Amino acid sequence: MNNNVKIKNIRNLIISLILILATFAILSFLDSNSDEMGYAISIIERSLIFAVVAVSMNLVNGFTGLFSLGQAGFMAIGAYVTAIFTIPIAKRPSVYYINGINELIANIEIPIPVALILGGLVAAGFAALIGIPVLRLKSDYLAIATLGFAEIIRAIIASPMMDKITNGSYGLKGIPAFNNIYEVFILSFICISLMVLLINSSYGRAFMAIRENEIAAESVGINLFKMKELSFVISSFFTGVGGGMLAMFMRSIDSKTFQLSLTYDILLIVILGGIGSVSGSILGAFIITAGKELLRFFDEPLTIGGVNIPLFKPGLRMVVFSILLMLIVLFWNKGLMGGHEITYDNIGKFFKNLQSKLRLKQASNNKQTIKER
Amino acid sequence: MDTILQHGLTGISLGGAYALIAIGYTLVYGILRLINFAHGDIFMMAGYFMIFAFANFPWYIAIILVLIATVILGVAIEKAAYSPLRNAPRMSVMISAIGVSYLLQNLATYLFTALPMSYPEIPGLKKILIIGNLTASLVTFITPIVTIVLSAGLIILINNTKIGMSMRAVSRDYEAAQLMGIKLNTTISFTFAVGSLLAAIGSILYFTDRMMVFPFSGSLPGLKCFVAAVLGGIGSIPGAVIGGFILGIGETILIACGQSTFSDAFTFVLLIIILLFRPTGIFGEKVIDKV
Amino acid sequence: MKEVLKLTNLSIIFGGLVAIDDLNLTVNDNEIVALIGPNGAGKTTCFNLITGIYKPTTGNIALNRQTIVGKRPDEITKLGIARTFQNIRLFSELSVFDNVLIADHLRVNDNVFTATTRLNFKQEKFMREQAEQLLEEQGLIHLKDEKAKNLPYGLQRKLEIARALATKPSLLLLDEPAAGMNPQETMELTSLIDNIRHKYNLSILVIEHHMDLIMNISDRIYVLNFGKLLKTGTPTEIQNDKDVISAYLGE
Repeated sequence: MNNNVKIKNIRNLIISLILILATFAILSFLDSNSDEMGYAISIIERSLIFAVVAVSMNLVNGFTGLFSLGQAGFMAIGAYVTAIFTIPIAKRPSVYYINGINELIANIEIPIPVALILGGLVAAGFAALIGIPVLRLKSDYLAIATLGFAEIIRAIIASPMMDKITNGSYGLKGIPAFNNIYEVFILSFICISLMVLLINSSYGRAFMAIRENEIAAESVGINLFKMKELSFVISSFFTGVGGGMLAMFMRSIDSKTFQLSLTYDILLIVILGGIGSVSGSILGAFIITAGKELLRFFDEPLTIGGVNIPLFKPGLRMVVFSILLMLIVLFWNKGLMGGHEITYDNIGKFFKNLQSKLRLKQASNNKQTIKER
Repeated sequence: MDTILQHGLTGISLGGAYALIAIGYTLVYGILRLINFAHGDIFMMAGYFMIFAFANFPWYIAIILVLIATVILGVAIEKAAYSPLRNAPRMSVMISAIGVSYLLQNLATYLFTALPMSYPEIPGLKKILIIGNLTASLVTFITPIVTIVLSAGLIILINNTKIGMSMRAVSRDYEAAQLMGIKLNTTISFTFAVGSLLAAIGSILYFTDRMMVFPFSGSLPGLKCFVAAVLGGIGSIPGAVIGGFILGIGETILIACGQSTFSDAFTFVLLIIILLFRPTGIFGEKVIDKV
Repeated sequence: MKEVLKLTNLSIIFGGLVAIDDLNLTVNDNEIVALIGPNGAGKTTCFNLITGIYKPTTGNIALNRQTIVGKRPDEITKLGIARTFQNIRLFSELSVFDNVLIADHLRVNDNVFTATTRLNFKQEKFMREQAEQLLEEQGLIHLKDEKAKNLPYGLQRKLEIARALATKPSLLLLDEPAAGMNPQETMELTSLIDNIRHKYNLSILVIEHHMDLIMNISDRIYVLNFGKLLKTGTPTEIQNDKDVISAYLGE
């Protein structure tokens, strides 16, 4: 028994090492051929950033059972905080040339990692404020309050009052980019790992207890409000960091980047991957991001054999995506992972199951052929 | 004084349109405990229906067609997206509602482009009336009247008819109601039909005033009207009407003061305040959770 | 004798309905007290008052001579009152082990930072050991990786008791623990309750309709009817009381 566990641990360690090496091999290949692989790199970077945000949405929606829809708003906060404090001072006059820049922030430039964390903290602070009145009540109200909050943030960012800070509706440009794909990978890896560690800790268990049964959770001594607030605030922190990363990835942002449809995109990722599954969310982020790129042809006019197919015009892609979302919700609401995680053991089991299924099928086929004879 | 009255009138008129939409939220929430995120988009689609109906038919037929089409849309959404999830966790149903909302917005963008389309002018509604020192178009005067008449009618319907009794029973306990021989699906469909009908009427009044329809013109009013329903006490029709009026007037006052950015934020600040001090809303009753 | 729980002049009114009317009740150290009465008499309401889910309209609830009125349910659990529910409330999608482990978190001192960074590994190890020990004692250890919802009904009840014990209570409230059990299971439960009382040095307040269970294990019985205390006494006194019999059977 003990020996088996040891062998398993060693096996897992070896697989992990191989996977890490393989990942870095792929990353270094992409990085050294960044000119030819630019498109692939940008898809992977975007997927990684969305994976961070999707996992953080899953933390609050999937693991704690609260329905928060404020992702776009928290991302906007993270993105703007990061952008405002990292755009090089020399570049600022050209970014703010129409409205000018507020003197308080004109000469403050902070290192990128600090700015990302600051963005996360500001987002978390707003989440704490919303959480205090709303989390004491049923989670339905949280959905509306966060949705409304996201829209307000967007309106405030674009409002003339904020011209000297957010550059109003012109948005911010010249945000420093990531130097290479490693940075994106390592940042996302750290964020997701922290969340996974949290989910598997005693606090993560308390979150799940709340999701399963609030009254029972309370009866074993879990402070419902404190735990809900904690989950919501931590999730918003990482959403904010994800927003900051998105700003660096896009290099220019404006309030339109953070519309409700951004939240819906992330929701689609979480649902596709499976509510309550971290690996599902990561997988979902890659599938949806890549899928969105691959399906771009839906928006282009299509001509087959000289005949113009009228269906294909701008907007079709998003219609296809929303139909996809509906289909998943209605017919496949467990998503890819159905609340399970991808682990080495599970992969092994999956293939064993597959094998035995195939064998069964073969056996039944054989039987049939025998009968037919 | 006159300007105050003038703004008051505009606010009441906007509030009337909000109230009609808020009733749809309150009815559906009362019965299914579901925030029908798609309700605002049904309202938006009603706006587009009018543009196309008006182009092809005389206005009185166009109005009837719009009402019928919107009711069909509302009931179809319920059948397709909510009824298969009757026994699913509540979060799934909410996600389904969001999915429908997303689909309608994207469909509208695809079919009609993201550019605003101008809303037709129904003859007479835009006629300028001058009463005393107040100047406003006819639609501004009739909106609150229509709202109050319709909601009074709805209250009578719910309290005095068989289908109304089914609705009340289902909202209390749909399993028990089913055991009493109430047809659950018919009752729910009827609820969606009523909600959509009111949303269609609301859209005619609202868009005649606004003159523009675009794919997202339902999303913010939709959220606001849900807040109006919460403010009045979710599940209560008089509550939804009063909530709608409060929001409409509050918003108009803020715009009149030159704070149009915050007129939208006002709604959600109001939501937070209600949730802090009176989570059951003005007319809501306290629900005791059975343990 | 030491009073663990003391209810004095406790009343609660729900919109005009007096659900509990001027109730006085005590539970002494290491005593099993039964709360019986017809359906709707206010027994579960009484539990909900003690555990802080409802706030009493008037009256006082004291645990070890300190009032607990106005405290949140989780605070009351921390002070030493654990409970089970009439309609089982387990964390159904989680494993048997996790169900108990979650209840153990009260007994360690960590915060979200130490928990995430695993600096609390000592506490975590302690919690896991405690949970395993408890499952071992309750004979559930072989099921530890099973999802709680997949357990048979009787074992779900047992797991709920184990989860309550994991919070290290001084007073355990059992709400109809034998509901839906057959005579054999009821007998086992009777000895289980008696057993844990001695083993964990508990006081137990139990609501139950199975009279043989009540008569077997309780030291004293309180009879509620329409929110009012009808009678109190030892099992033999209650068994032969005319008022109690008529309340149960009707006049």
